[in-house]
Amino acid sequence: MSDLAVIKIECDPSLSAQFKTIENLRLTGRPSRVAGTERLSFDAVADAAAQEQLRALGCAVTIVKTPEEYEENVRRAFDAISDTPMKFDGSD
Amino acid sequence: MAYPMTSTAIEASIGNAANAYSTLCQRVQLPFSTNSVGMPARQYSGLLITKVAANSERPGLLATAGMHAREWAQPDACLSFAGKLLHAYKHNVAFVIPAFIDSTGATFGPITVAADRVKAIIENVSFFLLPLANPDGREFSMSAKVNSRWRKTRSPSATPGIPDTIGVDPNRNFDIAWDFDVYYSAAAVADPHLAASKQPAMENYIGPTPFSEAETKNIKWILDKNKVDFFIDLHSFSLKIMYPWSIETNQSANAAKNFRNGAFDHRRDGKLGNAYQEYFPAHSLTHHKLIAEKMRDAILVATGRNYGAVGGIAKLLSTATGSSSDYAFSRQFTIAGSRQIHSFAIEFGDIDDHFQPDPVTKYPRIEREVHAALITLLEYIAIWSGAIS
Repeated sequence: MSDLAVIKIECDPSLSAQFKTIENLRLTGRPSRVAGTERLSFDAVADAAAQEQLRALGCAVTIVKTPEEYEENVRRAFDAISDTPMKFDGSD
Repeated sequence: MAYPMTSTAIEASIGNAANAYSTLCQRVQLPFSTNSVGMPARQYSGLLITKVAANSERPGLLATAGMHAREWAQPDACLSFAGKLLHAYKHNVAFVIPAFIDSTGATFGPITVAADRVKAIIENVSFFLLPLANPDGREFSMSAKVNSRWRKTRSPSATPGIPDTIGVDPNRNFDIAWDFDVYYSAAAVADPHLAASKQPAMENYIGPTPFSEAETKNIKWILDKNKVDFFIDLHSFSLKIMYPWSIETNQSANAAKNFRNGAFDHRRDGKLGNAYQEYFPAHSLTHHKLIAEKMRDAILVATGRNYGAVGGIAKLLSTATGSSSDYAFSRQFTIAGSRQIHSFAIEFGDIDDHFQPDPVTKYPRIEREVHAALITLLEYIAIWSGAIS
């Protein structure tokens, strides 16, 4: 099982230069500005050790999905993958 | 219908739509084949929905989804939208987004668009839908759970053997301020506020040249060959409804501050504030804001979810170059005789929905939100064209 949780990181942007040194931290997508300021919010997946390193840097870390919840999320999506196209006959 | 569909099923769905509604829409095969590691070259299609004559001056909308491989929900939602719209027109019935009951038991919607307005949309707007802009990326992201976060295309790397260097971020590969080293100061290039990279292993790699990817060439081709007045690019996630510019925040006071003016090369800072802001004509900015707010309001009615962040992309997100929505908007300034394209990008869903929203508990809400945004935009275009009041 993956030990990556879905997290939100908020910190001074200057700290993000150090993210690349943190193992098992994967930023997912483009950072958002926090309420019209220069502060940035990053979406990411990270294991527990990476989360600790982020906190040690001075970042606020919020866990959105635990590793178990994230794993279950991805599993359910994969289980539903369908090769059946839409028919467009009104039954879809 | 089953969500999420594979790339193959999405392509087959487009063909099924064209067959089932042959007088209302046509499958348009795009000219550039993908060039992806370990996959055969693929040609793929869009769906042109219209009863408008080819030489008509009626307005056109291009909607794209699935540009980022891992964002699974929007392509399926776009196709189910097309199905509902075509069904409503053919049977002369209303287009209905069913009521939604949220996790607290509160009910939102339904949204009903009367049959005469559906008729006005189909007969007065050319609607080009590209539901899956990055089919090989989606196929790879669905190939194994470990690949589910893949974002880029799958074009060959210049450094084979390093898997992360495969592919390009298509939404950084359009020809708008593509070479960020020219446009921004050295400090801005090094700053995390600029979300674009020349490192192939990065998720936001801009590619070796603008339009290096078949996936972006095909969107340019659609814009070149069709009358497009409105463009919308559907992404996930973060509950934001946005319009250009992505390269800088907006201002309408100084027309000289624009990406074509070399006097500002190497001077953009990519930050908030007015050290440098990109020119956006005032009347057009007002129009974009109005349309974005209409889509926000419709989504709120449909599902009760507030896409409260409405505005210029660079004000809401970090700055970025080479995006589809900036490119579509920029064409009016760079291509002689080009129409003004009203351009939008929406980030559907939130971090809890994530890139692959749960098919049972999360997807139905996002599907309704996509439908609410698209029907609102189409209805607005029909009104704007004078077809309905």
